[in-house]
Amino acid sequence: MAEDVKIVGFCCNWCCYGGADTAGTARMQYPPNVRIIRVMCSGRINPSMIFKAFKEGADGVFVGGCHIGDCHYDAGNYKWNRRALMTKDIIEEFGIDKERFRFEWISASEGEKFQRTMKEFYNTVSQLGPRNK
Amino acid sequence: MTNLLDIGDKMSEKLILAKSKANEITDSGACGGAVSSIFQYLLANEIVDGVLTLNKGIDVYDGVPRLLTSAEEVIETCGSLHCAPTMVSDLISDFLADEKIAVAVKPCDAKAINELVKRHRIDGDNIITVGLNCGGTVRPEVAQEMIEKFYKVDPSKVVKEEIDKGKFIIELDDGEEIGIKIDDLEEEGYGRRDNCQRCELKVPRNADIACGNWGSEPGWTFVEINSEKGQEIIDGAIVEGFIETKAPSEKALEMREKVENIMIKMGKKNTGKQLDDGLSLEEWEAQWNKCIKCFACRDVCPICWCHECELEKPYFKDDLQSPPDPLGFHGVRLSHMSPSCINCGQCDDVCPMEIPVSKLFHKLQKKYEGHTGYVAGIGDEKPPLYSPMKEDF
Amino acid sequence: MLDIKHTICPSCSVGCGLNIVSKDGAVVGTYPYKRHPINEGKNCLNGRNSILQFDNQIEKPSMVKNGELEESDNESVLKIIKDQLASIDASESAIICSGNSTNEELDKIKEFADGFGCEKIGFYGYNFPNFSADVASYDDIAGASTILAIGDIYRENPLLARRIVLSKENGACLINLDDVEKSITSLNADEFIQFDGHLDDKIDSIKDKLDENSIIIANKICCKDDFALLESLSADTGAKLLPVFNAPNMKGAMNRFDSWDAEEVKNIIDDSKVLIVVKDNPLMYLSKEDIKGKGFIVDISNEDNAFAKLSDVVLPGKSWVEKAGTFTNCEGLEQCFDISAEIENDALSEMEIFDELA
Repeated sequence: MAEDVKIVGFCCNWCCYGGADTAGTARMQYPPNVRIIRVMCSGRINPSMIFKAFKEGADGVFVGGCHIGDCHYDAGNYKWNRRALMTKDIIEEFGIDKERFRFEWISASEGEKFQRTMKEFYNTVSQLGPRNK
Repeated sequence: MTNLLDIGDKMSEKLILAKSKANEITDSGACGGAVSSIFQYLLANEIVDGVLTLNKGIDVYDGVPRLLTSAEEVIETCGSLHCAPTMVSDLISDFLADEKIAVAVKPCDAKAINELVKRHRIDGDNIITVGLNCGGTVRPEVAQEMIEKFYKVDPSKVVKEEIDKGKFIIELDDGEEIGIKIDDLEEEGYGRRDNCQRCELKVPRNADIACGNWGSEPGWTFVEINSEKGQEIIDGAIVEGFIETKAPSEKALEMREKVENIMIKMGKKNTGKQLDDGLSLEEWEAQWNKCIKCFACRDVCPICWCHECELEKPYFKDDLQSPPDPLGFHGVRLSHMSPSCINCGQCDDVCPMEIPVSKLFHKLQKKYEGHTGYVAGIGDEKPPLYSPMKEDF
Repeated sequence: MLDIKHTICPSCSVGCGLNIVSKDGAVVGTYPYKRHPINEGKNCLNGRNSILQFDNQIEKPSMVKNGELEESDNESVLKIIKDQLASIDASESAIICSGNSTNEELDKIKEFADGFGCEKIGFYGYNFPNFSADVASYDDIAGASTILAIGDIYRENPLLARRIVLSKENGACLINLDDVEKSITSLNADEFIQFDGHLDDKIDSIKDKLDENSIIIANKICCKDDFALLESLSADTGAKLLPVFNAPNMKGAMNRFDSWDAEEVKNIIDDSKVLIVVKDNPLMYLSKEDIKGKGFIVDISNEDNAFAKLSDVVLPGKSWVEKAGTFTNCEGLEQCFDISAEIENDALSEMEIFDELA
């Protein structure tokens, strides 16, 4: 791994962050390239946070929230979902492959899904390689 | 309000021909002078405190918004200015929010006002929008160059211009009229502003009334009544003796629909040409490389208004020796504004570096419209982006 | 009452048009002036921000006591100035003007100076010496084949840079010369030449790149001698020269008065018993020590700055929105403008001040 990629992962406190925790306690390994930032809700994430991550050199940005219907704050993940679609449309216009941005619903018990998603996303981003800035 | 979305498919049922009853206005006003008479009616009867209109400055290429507070002043503003692309909505939200005013609006002004009403920046109860049909506007310098080059006349001899039946028509001080097909002018890189070429709203049905000459008889203004408020104004202006009205003929209606449809078709064609087959990523990169982060696009955007801009937060500071990170500057602006982009083209107009900003905003608005059905500047709802509803979009 | 009126931007010498929005006697905003042929409604951040000066300005004639302004009135301040002038020989007076005054005001100041016998009258020229040769016009830029830009034109004079942008679209080659590591201009240039601030060792390498279809645009120069080098570069290659200044009417000032560099201004201050400074802030190029405790200083400016506190009396004069007159921009075009905002204010205009002093 000559040129390693950097991935920023925004995880919601109630579900995805719990999922990461579950993966951790069960000693499920996932790529260390993922730097996790805990947020209280995926509905708190703005496209500008994703853009800031890319601006600061992230090669991939991941967002994980609760499953639709399970939001701790009722509808935060619906809000994020709307923004996520727009975020995708915008990054493409700036020449960032939309594969570099991924979001997923992961519950606190889904340690395995967290691990799998991180591995997949790491593979995708690695294949795309570091963004030449 | 839903019928506003069927632009071009269905004409509103509230279509009338109106004419000014006061002669000194009919003589100087744009066809029929009904707009001027309606403004006079509103001021004379103290229905509004002021009327915001576009005034001729140095010449027909110079439009200066002006607030009129007495009926007598209205006479000075008659006529339309297609070579003076202005935007009035932010003047209202920034400086006239507490006043009860009527305002003459192009479709894009009406859209901007609509978006600002949704954002509680303008009180919808305080404002009466008198729409003016618009086939597009031309940048003043482009207009003068074009008139010299293609019309072979001295631009200062032009006293009036209009866009009708696919032509840009100028009237000279000796009464002569010359018209050239817009398509031909635009093929040569002249003609209307790029965003106007892409515009698909020609009759401002999002204003209380929409006025214009398409399909009207000489001496009459075609008025489309779009809201209850609009109906009240027309009724009042008739009762108070400011205007007279009659029903348009079938032929006139057909004519009008035809003119409008031609314009809408042109708009759709140009949207495809400019946006879908627009700049490549490399070309955009070269455009962003010129950006000096002067915030002119942000400041002029009629809808962008936050008191504290996220882009001025320390975490989005750029060094001044290089252009801002495109995604971290324009991307953020797009994420804030593009769902509500009304394609007014002001950002293109004011960019010192000639970056065609509106092309990207409009493109993303169109995409957003595709996902959600949200048409900016029309209807009562904000973009669903802000909705707390538990639904997919 | 909302009012929108045309004016000329005061932020640099490009001469852009700008609309001023005023309401009930206060400037509240700017609005694009799209009819203006120079900038077509486009204004840079400096230009649009030029109205911020109204948030913090001196409004009353004032005396300065212990470094603090004390409000006074026109008569008292004028009397003190007259007394001071009467107590000295005309040769002990000096006037520092600037490119912030209109041509008409500069003429009025000259008239006063001539009448009084003051011979030391000039302005700080940011190292640009007086010169009268023809300069390139903005239209020349559009057709240029090569443009040599000295300084960060893109950031500092964006509406001139716009001409370069358009010219580049026509195929022009942009060479940028600057003493910084990088700038927006350098990043947009086809070639960037970094130098240490002095032109002499770079001139030869540039010479071959320029011809009569070239234009040299400079917005900074380190000394008057370097400007002479540019003049000879222009003469040798046939390239047209376009110096760009940072005050709206510096060209007008240059046509009338001596352009001084910092050293010259310093010497003038040293030799003066009464110094009148009109719409300039010498602290931009001199230190406090260069100014403090020398002569009696009259500051005619509404800018609330450290220099006002160093002076002895302050007359605010009028801000540019309250004036009518002409500015000569850097391409030599004299542009007329009218009062763009009616502000209630009992301060005397510069014209009135010098009429009173005469």
